[in-house]
Amino acid sequence: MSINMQEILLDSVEHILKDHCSRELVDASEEGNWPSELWEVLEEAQLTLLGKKEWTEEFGGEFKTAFEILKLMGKYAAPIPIAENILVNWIGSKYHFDDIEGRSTLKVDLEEKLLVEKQNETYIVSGKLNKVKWARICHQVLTLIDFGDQTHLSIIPLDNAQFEKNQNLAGEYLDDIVFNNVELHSIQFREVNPQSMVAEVKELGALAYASMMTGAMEEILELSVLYSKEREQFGRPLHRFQAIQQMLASLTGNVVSGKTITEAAINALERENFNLIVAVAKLRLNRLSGTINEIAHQIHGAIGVTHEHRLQQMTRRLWAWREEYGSEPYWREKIKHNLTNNFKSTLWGTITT
Amino acid sequence: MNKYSLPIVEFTEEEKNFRLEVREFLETEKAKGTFETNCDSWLSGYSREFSEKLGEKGWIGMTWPKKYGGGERTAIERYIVIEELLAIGAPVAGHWFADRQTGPLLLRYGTEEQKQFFLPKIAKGKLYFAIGLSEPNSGSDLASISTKAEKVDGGWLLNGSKIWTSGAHLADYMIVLCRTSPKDEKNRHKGMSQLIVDMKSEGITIRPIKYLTGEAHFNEVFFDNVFVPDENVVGTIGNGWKQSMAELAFERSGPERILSTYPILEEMFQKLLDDMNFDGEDEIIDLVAELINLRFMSIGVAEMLQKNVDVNLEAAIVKDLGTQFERKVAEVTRSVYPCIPSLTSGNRLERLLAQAILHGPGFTLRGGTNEILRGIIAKGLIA
Repeated sequence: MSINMQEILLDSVEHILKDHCSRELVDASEEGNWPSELWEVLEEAQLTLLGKKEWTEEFGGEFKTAFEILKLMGKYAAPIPIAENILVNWIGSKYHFDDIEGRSTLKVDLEEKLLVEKQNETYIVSGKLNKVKWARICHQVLTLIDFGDQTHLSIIPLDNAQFEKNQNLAGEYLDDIVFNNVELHSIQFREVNPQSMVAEVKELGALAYASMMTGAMEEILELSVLYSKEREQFGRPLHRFQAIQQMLASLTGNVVSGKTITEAAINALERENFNLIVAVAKLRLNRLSGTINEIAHQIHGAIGVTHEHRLQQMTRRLWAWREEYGSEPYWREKIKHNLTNNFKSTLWGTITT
Repeated sequence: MNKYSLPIVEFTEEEKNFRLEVREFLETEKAKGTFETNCDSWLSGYSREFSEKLGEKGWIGMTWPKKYGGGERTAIERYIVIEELLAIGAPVAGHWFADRQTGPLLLRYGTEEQKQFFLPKIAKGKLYFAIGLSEPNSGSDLASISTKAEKVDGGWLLNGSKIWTSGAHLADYMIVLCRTSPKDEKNRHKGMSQLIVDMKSEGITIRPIKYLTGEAHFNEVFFDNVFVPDENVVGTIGNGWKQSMAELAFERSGPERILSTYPILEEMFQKLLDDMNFDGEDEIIDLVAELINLRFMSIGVAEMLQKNVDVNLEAAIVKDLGTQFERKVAEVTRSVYPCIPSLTSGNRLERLLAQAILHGPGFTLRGGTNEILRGIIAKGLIA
């Protein structure tokens, strides 16, 4: 996709979000009123096809564009499974699953596989998937199943599954899914190497969430600058105080760090250094989130910690998204292995290759 | 969404090969004993011999026109050379300021005669410059300087003093920012000019100042009726403030704001490799990740500088974060690896750590304190 085409697309996505993803709507979703109309608007705009081959072909789009769109989703705190949908679309296409309709989520983890048994012409699914993002409003889940003597990648419908409802720090749905001998007439599954499948999903998921975190960080910076101009204390706007200026500058530095490493990871997509850069990106985004939230809340004072102000929708997301697709220990281990496996006589030689 | 977006630079195959060529040369020189690895070598490591060797390789004044002794290479190639020099901790302080600041300054504002006379000698690594900005009563508030030059027949008579001038005792010339007309409290930046002062001139006294390490690599310099000929005025009389500020963008976001303590991180990673159960592993990996992040930022700024984009804010951001990182490398290392840092230790890591700890406070002071830079960033945000 040309730069220009991408800009036009991002512009129209931002328009949709401005019109259909208000602060009130995000609050309502947290109370359990899931915004199906927002999803329908995105469906009409064919944005729910992001990541599918047909989207790539029809729009001449690159997979990279999906991550630029996710930055906007993060900026508006869109309470919908758009990242999950993109990931399942992409992986589904890549592993030649038949076309998927409706909303998808995923849980690809070696410790949480479903058990599938065949009785006559029926498949019986049992097991539990823990803390699956947006599960209760999704139609299917991409997951690993044990079937026969092997582990496969599969897409399982959620029609007859039970949900144990749960929410993350941002109030996003994070439900346990229970399959209590659910009967299915047909089932799609593909043979994969489970270990490398898990690693692949972690990397793509980390990039998706790093992109959304970047969008949230930019919004936090914008809100902080705005507040420092509007709010007056001791007879002058906050930004006139050196203490606030120092905080705004530090906040900017941390946000620019996050933006840059996310951009580097998107840029590295499908290149040989992707494994290292995406690992660095998620580790850094996780670490930066804590600092960014700390400074932004300090600048906003008491109003920032209330539901009346938009800030909390962003900061709670950063806190929650740190744990998505690997927190720090997971990525540190990946970075260490990447550097040691590709070691070229010095650390310097290794990171500059 | 695109505020403060830095471009992501991917090095080309040619650039990667060039990096290896630079690295091989430096490793050979180090093996021969031409230099030893030190922290903060761009401020405190002097070697005439090594400067001249770099000059012979064409790695000083790399981006300058060939007719002035330059190599007409790209800013990214220069960036690679600088990174390699710092990563191995080579002694580059002698020619550093001339290469980084004086060259670009003269190319932009200098007369044809000045370019022809100074630039080829700088590029050969034979001519050193110091930058005279701060004064005893003017630190962060640079606009308050009072060193002045008065017009006399055929030139200017310079009186006053400069302080914290790195390498003034070894420099052949100094670019002195001074007042050529009286202070105007309404426009404090008016009436300043830049003069090239020959350090062998009569009337110059240099008082070395001992730094925390006990070494004296910066100085106080006194000018007592020092005659500076007209041909040594840089650019336009009265335009000195603007000219000086233009220099600073080059000074703020380079690899020297990230890599001053890099040799320590290299040592620590080797320890992690030797012992896969190394206790401080998490902290070291975090530092490596931060370094990778900062490099993308710094290279992005270099790319924008090459395209003449205004990057004052971005450069200030890189310096603020990079210099804090440099200090963190030393602090984290000593906290995870028990040792006794000492400048005289026989153990290399202890020596490097001592250098890094004692040089540390300077990282966030030199080139504009980080607080001043944050003020610049905040004002840019609000504007």
